[in-house]
Amino acid sequence: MPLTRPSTGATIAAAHVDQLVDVLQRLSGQTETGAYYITGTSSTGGAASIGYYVSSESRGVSPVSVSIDTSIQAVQNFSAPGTDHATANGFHVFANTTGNTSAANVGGVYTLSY
Amino acid sequence: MGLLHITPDGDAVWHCQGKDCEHHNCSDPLDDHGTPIGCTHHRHLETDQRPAGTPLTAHISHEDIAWTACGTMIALPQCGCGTQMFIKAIFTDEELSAPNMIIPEYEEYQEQVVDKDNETLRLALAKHGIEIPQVVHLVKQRRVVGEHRHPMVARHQELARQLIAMGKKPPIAEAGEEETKDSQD
Repeated sequence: MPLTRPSTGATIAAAHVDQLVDVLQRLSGQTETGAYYITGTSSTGGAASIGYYVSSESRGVSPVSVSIDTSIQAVQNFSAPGTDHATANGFHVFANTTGNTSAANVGGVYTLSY
Repeated sequence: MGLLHITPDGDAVWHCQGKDCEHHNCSDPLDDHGTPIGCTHHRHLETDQRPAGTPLTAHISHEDIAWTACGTMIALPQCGCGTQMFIKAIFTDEELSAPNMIIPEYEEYQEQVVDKDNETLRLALAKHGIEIPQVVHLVKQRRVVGEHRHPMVARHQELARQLIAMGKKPPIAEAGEEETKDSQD
């Protein structure tokens, strides 16, 4: 459900606060989605690993899984992207170039499950 | 979400997180206690209208079921829709004590609550000898009656145990073994 505002002059109910808490600190069974995009080049005579750390909105609770797709940018001069180091702060997403390239790209949607 | 099931024979079962995938399922609850799945892809739909796709299955001997470089996560084979899931299998004590790792169990009950506005009016009128009936509302409440662990943790740890038993060890553990071996030589 989308977040809702208390109407003007109305009392702020616990439910109004809870909907924000539930985003900042996900409950068991909830998910968080977002996007990632990796761009890189490789001229080292071989594959280069390129990645970055995606910060999650949720903090203080531990994810149980991360899923990624390539729906924004299909793999271009990269091998399939991977993830690791999933913690309460986010996760690492990376991909390896498939050789010398001036344009390696991949991007998609991620889903963190709590 | 994570592993739906891991059999003693090593068959891992899970649902895809791909939004439009035939293997996506956010209709079924997270656990046997009915904890709902809060799917951000389909939060606009009522639970019974959400996708209830069929699960994916792979044996732990599948070459794509492998530890990631950090040594705490396991990659599952990519779904046909292009989505790939990586599950967390090694948790620190701090992570295991995180609020989402303990799931409260609720019991619903009804409570009688006196209507405040009516009660104010009733008491004021009673001073003048006028009696009106008290209005009582039946309010549905819920209280915590217990708690249980997040179901994914035990399943993911069991997958890790089975992988290690068949020789697929996390890279950090392997590195540690190599160091130990080197120091013994």
